[in-house]
This record gives sequence, structure tokens and C-alpha cells, in this order.
Amino acid sequence: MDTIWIVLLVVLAILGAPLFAIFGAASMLLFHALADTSITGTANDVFSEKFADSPLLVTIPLFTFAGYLMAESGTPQRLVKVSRAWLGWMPGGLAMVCLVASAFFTTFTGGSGITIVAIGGLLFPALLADKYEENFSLGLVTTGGSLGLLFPPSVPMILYGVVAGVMIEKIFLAGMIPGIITVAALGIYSSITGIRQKMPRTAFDRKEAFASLWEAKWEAVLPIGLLGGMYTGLLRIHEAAAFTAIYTLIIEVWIYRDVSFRRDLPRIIREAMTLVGAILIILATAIGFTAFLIQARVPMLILESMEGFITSQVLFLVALNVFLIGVGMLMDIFSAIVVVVPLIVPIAERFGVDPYHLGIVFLLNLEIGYMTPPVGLNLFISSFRFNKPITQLYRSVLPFIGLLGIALILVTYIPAFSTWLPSLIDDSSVSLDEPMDDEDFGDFDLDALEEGGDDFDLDALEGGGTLDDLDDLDDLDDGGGTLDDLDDGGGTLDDLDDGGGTLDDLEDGGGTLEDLAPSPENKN
Amino acid sequence: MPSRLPQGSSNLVKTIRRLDRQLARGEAAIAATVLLFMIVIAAAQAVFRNLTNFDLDFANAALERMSWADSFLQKGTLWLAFFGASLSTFDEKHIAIDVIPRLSPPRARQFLRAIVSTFAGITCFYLGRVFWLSVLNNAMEVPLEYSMLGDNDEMVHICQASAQVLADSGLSRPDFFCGLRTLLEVFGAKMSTPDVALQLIVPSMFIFMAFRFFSRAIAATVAFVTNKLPETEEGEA
Repeated sequence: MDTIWIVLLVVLAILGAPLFAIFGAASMLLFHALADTSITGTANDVFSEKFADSPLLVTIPLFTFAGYLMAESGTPQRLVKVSRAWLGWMPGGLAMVCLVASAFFTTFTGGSGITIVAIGGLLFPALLADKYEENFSLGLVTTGGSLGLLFPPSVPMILYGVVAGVMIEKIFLAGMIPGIITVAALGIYSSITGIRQKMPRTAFDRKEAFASLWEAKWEAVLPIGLLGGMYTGLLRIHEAAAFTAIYTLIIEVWIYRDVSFRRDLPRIIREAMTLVGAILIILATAIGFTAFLIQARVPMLILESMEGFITSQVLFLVALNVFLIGVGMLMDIFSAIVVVVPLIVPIAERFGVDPYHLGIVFLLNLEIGYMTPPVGLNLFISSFRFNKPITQLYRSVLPFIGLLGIALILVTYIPAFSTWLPSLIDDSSVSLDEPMDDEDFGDFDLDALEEGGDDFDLDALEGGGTLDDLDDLDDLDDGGGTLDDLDDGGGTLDDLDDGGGTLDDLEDGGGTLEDLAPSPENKN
Repeated sequence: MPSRLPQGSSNLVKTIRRLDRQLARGEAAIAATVLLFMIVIAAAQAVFRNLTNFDLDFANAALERMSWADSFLQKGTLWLAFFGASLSTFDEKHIAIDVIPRLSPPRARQFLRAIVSTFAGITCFYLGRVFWLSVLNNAMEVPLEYSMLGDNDEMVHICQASAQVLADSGLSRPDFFCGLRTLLEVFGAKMSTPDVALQLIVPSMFIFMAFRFFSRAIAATVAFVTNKLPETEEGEA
């Protein structure tokens, strides 16, 4: 691609062209310059497990819908009420309320700025009424806009899982401790501010506390049900997303009656799907762009250029942080994930960085980037929502950026914070919903399939068409089919040929379960 | 920033706007229907899957009958993504680095809007073309369950098989899909399976978005040239 095109695209991006169009145009121009590769083939990746066939992708519209539904209902009020009743007695209590409520809310709304409008909109006037300094209050509600990104089921985390091909259950666990560290760091700061400014404290009222919790009981059990369902294996990730959506729909429409099914729901779905479309079309168009970068060996070139001066994992992590904060300032979190993650993952692997640790460092950097001057998205949302000059926002967020920076240093250089919890999960117990690495199937062979029992249902494999149907091998037995086809062959899989072309792959792959995953061609 | 209707724009532009608004309503309705179906189907799938652990016959049978559910959820997500993207275009809510437009005076903003909308329209048009070719490429491969031995001992698509061949093989023609296939053939898209036909949403919506971007570019140009302040909110109708 000529330099003139690159300059033109950069200028158009700065002038406000939709980023999906920038990525799409860049992909087409880059592939046009390649004589031996067709963009049509790369475009086909959009219909593969890299996008349309990814079992994780479906969770994004479902969780986003649930988040929007909560934002439009009385959830923010109930959440603030319950947080206030339980945390209001602490020094800097109302600030703590803001942190906890924001973190909880962003978890479901994915840091799209809704938290600032929904929670910040409620708490900013309350903070000022309690005589918190305006800049502190502004900084607090703006920081709250991206605070829950490290807690499940945040959409950026899911997107990282899709792009990096890591296990979603593990990345969710990896974010827990770092997420708590960020909230705790800001909580301590809020307490110190509360003590220093002699903020009024409300006495803990047990009756009020339990009454508020009772009022918010339907929402309060949601995270427990969601995580419990996922980690006990009752719900696969997309089922957990569907349950969150259906549960939220039922409680907000028919139990709390905050949202009218006819009057409000169409508008809420439309707003949620508008955001989903804006995120997913970037992912779709960036597939071609990143495919080119990988094909052009860009990660390897970056690695080679770094080899002279970056010699250790620690130095790599320093460089990564500097780079990612820059990325976070310039790009929104979704574009950053889809474009930068494929470049970073192979390099980090070379330096021996755990992929889950990398994911959390990545997300925390972008969380900070959301509120970093001059172009962090949340600064503009706050400026717009609270009608304050953007320069005042720049000043107000600085202490919070500093604290999150400390949390970032801790999380970056003490990998155990992110790797310990995921290491407790047994790989074999994880569902097959997510993209798998080779090692996940390393010691599985087709002999095991043959011995699996008389109920192996080949139709289910062909008809079901996804690895979801396999779930685990016990479920294969439940298929209720017969092993006739297999048995005919006297215990070898040669006879699978009879089933036609779609099972050819079983033979070709040298006996790994990976080959059982139907290719897009088979599915189509 | 929601788009606005410039004063003094021609009746034609206004008519296109009205039509576009109706189309956006239709898209939103389709997106809502797909989403609600997806929620119900994924939840039902979870219930039946867990009930199979108790070896209940009805749950096993229901799960077996829902073998299409994963494919539905995946294709549903693809449709949601592109209807959502189209609505984002309508509402001008695509993710962009919009610091400069935000800080620009209104007239300059219309000028920038005209430029970036034209660029996005051209890009969408070419992306539509790329994905059209990609889907046609996918459609060239006919899986076994959609092909059969025809009268002349050559493989034919199940929709093209004669009644006699179908009767002999004991198979039934998927009438709905075959009707759709015939319709799509008029547009030059010879689809092999329903799954591939559903992929057509991608090129179709890119082309549709191209028109939407072009109409925005025209509206912004009119607003810039006439220097008339926008008067009505469009955005969410």
C-alpha cells in the first residue's frame, strides 16, 4: 500500500470516519497490493469461527441487551440504595458507593459509557450535595465508567477471549483479583479523602440495609447465579448470557415493572443492537486487516526490531504498558482489542507471558486509556453528561489515573494476581465452547472415541455441526444414537467414510478431536 | 452525534429520509425479533441439556430436535451484527475518533461529515462487493445432503432434482429454501444451502449501508453549501 493511502486513511480516521470503514478500506488496499492472495478468501474468515461461527460472539448481543435493560430500569437506583445502606457508614462512604455500584454496573454494560450516565448521573449530584469537591466527584464518576471491565461478564473480556482464542472461563477468573485491586485502590483513596475532608457519615442501619437488599434481591442474585451456573458447568457461556438476558427481561418487565414490554423494549433493544452492530462490524472488518498484518509477519518484524534492546520479560512488560496506554488513548477498547491483540499475543508468547496475564494487563491498560487525556472516551461522556469543560475533566481524573497506574504496575509485575485463579481450573473440565489450543486436545485420540460406548451418535456430530454438541465426552454417550456405523468397521474409523464427505476430516487429522470440529465448508 | 435534517433540502431528499426512517424501523423490528428468539432458544437449549442428565426421554428428544439451535444462534448473531451496524449508520453512532468533529463549528462539522460519509459509502460499496464474491464462492460447494444423483447420472442440487428422483430416493424437497433459492437466482446468487443463503446478509447490508452513507453525504453537503442550521432531530425515530 502506498504511503499516500496510509496518510489518507490516517487523516480520514482523525477527521472522524467510522473505524470499521478505515479497517475495511485498509484491508482491501493491502490485499490489492498482494499478487498471490485474494481478499475474497480472507473475507470468508468472517463466516468462520473467527467471527460468525465463534461460540462466544453470541454472548455479546445477549449481555449488552441485559446491560441496556438494567440501565433503563430502576436497577441503578436500587443498586445505589443498597450500596449506600451497606457502605455509607464508612469514611468516604458515598464515594465507595459510587465505586462499587459503577463496577457492578460496568460489568454488565461493558464500559460503553452507560455507567457514567446511569450511575454517575445519580451519584454526581449526591456527591456534591454531601460536599465532596467537584473535581474529586467528577473524577470518581468518570473513573467508574470503566471500573468493572475486569469482572465477568464484561463484553471487552469476551471480545478478548474471541480474538486471542483463550478460554473464557479462565479469563473471567483471571480478572477477579486485579479487578478487586483496582476497586480497593480507589476505595482507599476515597476513604482518605472522606476523612481528610471530614465528610458526613451515616450510621449503619441494619434494618435499612436488609430492607434495601431485599428490594434489590432479584438483581443481587444475578451475579451469583451467573457465575455459579458457569463454573458448575450447568450453563455454557452462551447459555449463561441467554439466562442473564431472559432473567433481566423477566424481572424488569414483569416483577419490578420498570420497563414496558411494548413501549420501552423495542427502543432498548434497538439502542443495544446499535452498539452491538458498531462493535461487531469493527471486529468483522478488522479480521482482514489483522490477517494481512499476520501474513506480512508484522508481529515477527516487531519482535525482531525489539530484540536488540528488549531482552527480558520485565522489559517487554514495561514496553507493553507504554505502548498500550498510547493505544488506549487513541483507540476505543473494542477496536484496540481486535487490532492489537493478534499482534501482541505471538510476541508475548515469545517472552513467556501467560496469555491470561497478558489479557488482564491489556484490559487494565485500556481501562486507564478510557479516561486518559486528551481523547479518552469517558472524558467526553462525562463532559457532555455533567456539562463541564473537558479541561476540567482532564484535571479531575489525574489522581485516579495515578492510582490505577499503581494497580497496573502491581498487576503487570506480579503475574500471580492474574494467573493463580485460572490455574485452579482443570483444563479438562472446561466446556468446549471456546476456541481451543492444540494442547487442549493433545492427548486425545480417536481410539478413545471408539471406546466411548455404544451410543455414539454420528448424526448428532454431522447435524449439530458444532463443538458445542460434544461438550464433553459424556455427552456424546447421551446422544441416544447408535454406534452401528462405527461398529461395522470392526473397531476402526475407516468406516466413517460411509458417512460421506463431511467426516473425511476425521481421518485426515491424525486422530485429534480438533478435526471433529466441522469446518465452515462442512457446515455450509 | 445524531444527524439532523437541513432546512431547505429538496422534497426528494425528504422523501428518501422518510423512507430511510421507515426502513430503520423495520430493521429494528427484525433485530428485536431475532434477539428475542435467540434468547428463548439458547435458554431452552440450556434447560433441555441439563435435563438430559436426568435421562428424561422428552429432554433427550427435545435436544435432538434442537440440533439446529447452535447454527441458528451463530447466524442470528451475524444478522444482529449487520442490522445493528446498519442502525448505527442510520443513527450515525459508529465508533470513530470524533474529537475533531466534536470540537468543530457547525458548518465545518457538516463539511467533515460529507467527506467521511462519502468515504464510508465507497468503502461499504466495495466491502459489499468483496463479501458478495465471497458468499458466491461459498455457494459453489454443495454438501452431500443437498446434492443427489439426477436423471442423467450427474449430481444435481436437491432443489433441481425431478419429482421422480426425489420419490425414488425417499427424500423431500425443502420447499421454502428452494423457493428462496429461485428468487435469489434472479439476482445472480445461486445458493447451495440455507446457511450460505443467510450469509447474504453481509453483502446486502454493506450495500444498503453504502446508500445510507451516500444519502448522509448529500444531506451534509446541502447543509454545508446552504449554510443552513439543521432543524430536526433524525436519529432515533
